[in-house]
Amino acid sequence: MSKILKGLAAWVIALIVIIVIIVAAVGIYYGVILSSHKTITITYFDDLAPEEAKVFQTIILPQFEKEHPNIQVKYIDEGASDIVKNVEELVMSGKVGPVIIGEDNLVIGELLYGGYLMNLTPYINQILQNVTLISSMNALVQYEQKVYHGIYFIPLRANVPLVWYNKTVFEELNLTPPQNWQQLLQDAKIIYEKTGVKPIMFQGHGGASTYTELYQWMVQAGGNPFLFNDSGDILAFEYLYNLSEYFNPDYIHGYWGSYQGLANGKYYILDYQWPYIYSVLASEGVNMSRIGVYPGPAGPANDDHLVGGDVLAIPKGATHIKALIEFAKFLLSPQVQREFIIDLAWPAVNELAYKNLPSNISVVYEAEEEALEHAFFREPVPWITVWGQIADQVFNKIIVNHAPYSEIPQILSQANKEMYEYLLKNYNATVAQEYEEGIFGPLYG
Amino acid sequence: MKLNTSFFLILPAVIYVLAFAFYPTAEAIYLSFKDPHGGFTLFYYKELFSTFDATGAIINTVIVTIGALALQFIIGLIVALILTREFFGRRTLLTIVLIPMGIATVVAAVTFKFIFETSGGYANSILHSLFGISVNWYQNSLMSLLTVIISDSWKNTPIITLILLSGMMSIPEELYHAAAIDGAGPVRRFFYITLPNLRKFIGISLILRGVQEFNIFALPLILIGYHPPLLTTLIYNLYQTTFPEVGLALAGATVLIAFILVFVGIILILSGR
Amino acid sequence: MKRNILLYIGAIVVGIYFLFPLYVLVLLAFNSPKYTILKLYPSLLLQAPTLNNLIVALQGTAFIDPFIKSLETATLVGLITIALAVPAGYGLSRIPGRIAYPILVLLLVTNMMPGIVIGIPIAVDFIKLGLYETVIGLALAQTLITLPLATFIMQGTFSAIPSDLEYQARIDGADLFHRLFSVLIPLAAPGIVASFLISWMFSWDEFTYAILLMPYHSTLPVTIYIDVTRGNLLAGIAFSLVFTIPVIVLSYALQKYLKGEYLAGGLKG
Repeated sequence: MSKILKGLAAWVIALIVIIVIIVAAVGIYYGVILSSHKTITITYFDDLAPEEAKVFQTIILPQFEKEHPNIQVKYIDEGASDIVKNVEELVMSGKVGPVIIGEDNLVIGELLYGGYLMNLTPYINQILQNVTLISSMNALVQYEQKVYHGIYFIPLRANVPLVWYNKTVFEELNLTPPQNWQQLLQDAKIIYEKTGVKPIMFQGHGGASTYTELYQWMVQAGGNPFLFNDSGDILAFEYLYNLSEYFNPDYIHGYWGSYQGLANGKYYILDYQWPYIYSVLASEGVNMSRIGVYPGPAGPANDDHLVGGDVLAIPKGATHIKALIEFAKFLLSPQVQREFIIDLAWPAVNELAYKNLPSNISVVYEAEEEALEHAFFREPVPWITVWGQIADQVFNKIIVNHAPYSEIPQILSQANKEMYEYLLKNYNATVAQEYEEGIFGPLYG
Repeated sequence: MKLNTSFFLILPAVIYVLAFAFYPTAEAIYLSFKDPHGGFTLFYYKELFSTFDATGAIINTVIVTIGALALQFIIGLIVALILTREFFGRRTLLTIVLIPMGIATVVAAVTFKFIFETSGGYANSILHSLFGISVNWYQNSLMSLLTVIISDSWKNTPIITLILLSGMMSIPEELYHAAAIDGAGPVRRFFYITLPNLRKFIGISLILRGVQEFNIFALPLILIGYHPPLLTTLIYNLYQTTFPEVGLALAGATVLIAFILVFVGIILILSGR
Repeated sequence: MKRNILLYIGAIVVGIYFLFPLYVLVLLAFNSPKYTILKLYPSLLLQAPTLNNLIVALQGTAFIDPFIKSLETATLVGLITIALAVPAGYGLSRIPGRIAYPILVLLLVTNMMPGIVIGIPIAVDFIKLGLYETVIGLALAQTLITLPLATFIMQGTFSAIPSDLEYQARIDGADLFHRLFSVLIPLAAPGIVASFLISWMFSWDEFTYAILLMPYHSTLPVTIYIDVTRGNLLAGIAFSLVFTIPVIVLSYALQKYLKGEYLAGGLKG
């Protein structure tokens, strides 16, 4: 018996020795060999879908590394709020290193307000050497100059959510893509009655996916989403309440990564999803001529579209600024921005990228361009994620848990009150007052 | 002399526990009451219960705990009973029963995520091919909690089975023989001999597993996310969003600690220790 | 005879219940995606077995980095745990029960503290101390989970060694060092190995502290979670499968040590 035990103990010790050797070897490689080449390794954070990240890592980043042989780029993919938290932690720890981030324009406000970003004004001329920002992006830049008296982030790319639908089903039922909310409701009803499938997929999982989608619905009804209870907001929720009868049951899991149901017939209308799914679906062998895409139905008040997308920023205390600036210049250069358009279907922020585009530009891109004609940004206030949390709760109460229709206005008023009190407690009375007066709202270009 | 060296030997472990368990807990409770502008406040608790529906999260946590414990004990008891018998393939069954213990929580969660889906998924594949029906496993809060209960029980029934089995095997055969001679059938033997003798084992496993059930985190995070929220997932969600001001999340954490203390207290009183 | 049939039916049902999710994992990993994630009602049979899922997912640093992190952390946790538990277990076995018992209860109570409660203050403190996102920081935190059980096992192990043996060795002139290495440790070896292996497995599985203290370049469990929630389903599945294999192997090896002896030892002591 003890022989077996001694054998096992010896085996465990051998395992430990092997592990130590592996770890030491890896450590030596990274610590000694890499650094002896005096290469600077920049860390670049961004929040991309897996397909987009692949293009970035295999096509775009290697180009930079070829042009700058002594700079390596380490790409790290994280969710937008994870990037916020990560930057906060890095700055708090005092050991930042060469870090540059591509952050969602939704949450950049939190980093701005908290003072976690480096002031880029001294470097702006260098970075924008070869760049003319498209006019809609100016709204964002003007915002930061007005509120923060400096340039702390630079728009990198735009992203516009679109509506996707199953062309086969629409053709069979003689329907056309709905051009307004009423038509959407009607079409959904017809599809459900004829096929028994609840056709609409909504991003109902909660978190940024849900409250971003809600934001656009509320703006299109003429409301200021931050307030929750102005007439447009109430209208939007009442409409969604009725529309939710035709939501596919899977909607409570819907988020920025949901698209497969459109391909395998689970649902027929993907109400607002980011354009990256076009190339994903195509690469998975889906017959794309059966999938339709367009900017979506117009709301009762307007046909405005939310612009997402990323901005470039550098955490305070970052090192090797020169290398970071080279990288920023690279990403904003006409060449790379052109690749954004062609390879990723991302609307570029550099006007110079739009020269001489190939004529067979994708149907997705056309839809994006149409949507961008009336575009707005979510104002990057630092408390937007708290607003989002409350919006989630409201969505849960009204749509998911199906509160009585008559209670919608009071639920929304309650949300407004909670937001006000949060601002009162965590900021100050001025901010809370400004909030109530609707000073914070969608930013137009 | 010997007593002193023994205490010195225990000291590192005790210091470690104080530094890494008690100090952070005290810190958590303290920070949950600390106002960002200085001083003490109950603001975070108010926020927790009004805006973020902590009460709902508490109820959900209790439902999952009770449901999971019940399921684990029932199945664990049945499996242990089967394993007390000698039969061909007993060894194999024992190994199979231990398999969930060897599968990481994350892996189990991911797998169950593919088993239970709103439409489709492996569970529905079976139901569809046998009965032609499809169940939306997340159609309401209760169903979602049920998927968590089933998945968690699958992972944790083995340990209960092992404890109950070792308890059952320690009951002397003569007790059963004597009862059989007195005319007691298998059902009566179970209720009058097996269960009473297992009381100590059931008690210990109830406390250990019960507390762990309150703390389940990885499984619900992956399976149901924040819909509906359990206390642990609510705390994590708040932490992620309100960082670096962690007061709100820590208020939730303090509530969780309070619950566990209450739970343990109840069990201790009930088992008369 | 009738009872036997009932027994066998029960055994088979139980067997299927416990094996089914593992079978699903195998299907997900080895079946072509056409029959798994792309199909509304995924196939219950292995219809188009392929190694492609695994090959694509396991290439490159996306897998190796977390794998090594998990290895390093688990090994460190095992070492730290036995460094703390072996002396503590020995000390506890040699002092009177009425003093040892409360200390054991203290350790047990520690196990009841939810990871998420302790993890948040620890995370905030670690950021300031520079231990955030480090293997050593995570290992220190994970030891919290493994220490109580390991101490329990070691206390039981040492209790089972009659103090006469030690006494005998002392009379024979052996000093503390010799007593340790020629008497105590060889006899306690099974318990030490069991403690190390259990701690290793707990750490390998651990999620809560990993996601709080090392959220970005993390161990395998967190990486799997991130993959699954960010749409890298096939990668998550492949990692899950490879991740499970060491544990099944170790569990089987551990089965021999997990017999009642070491668990009951503490209860008696």
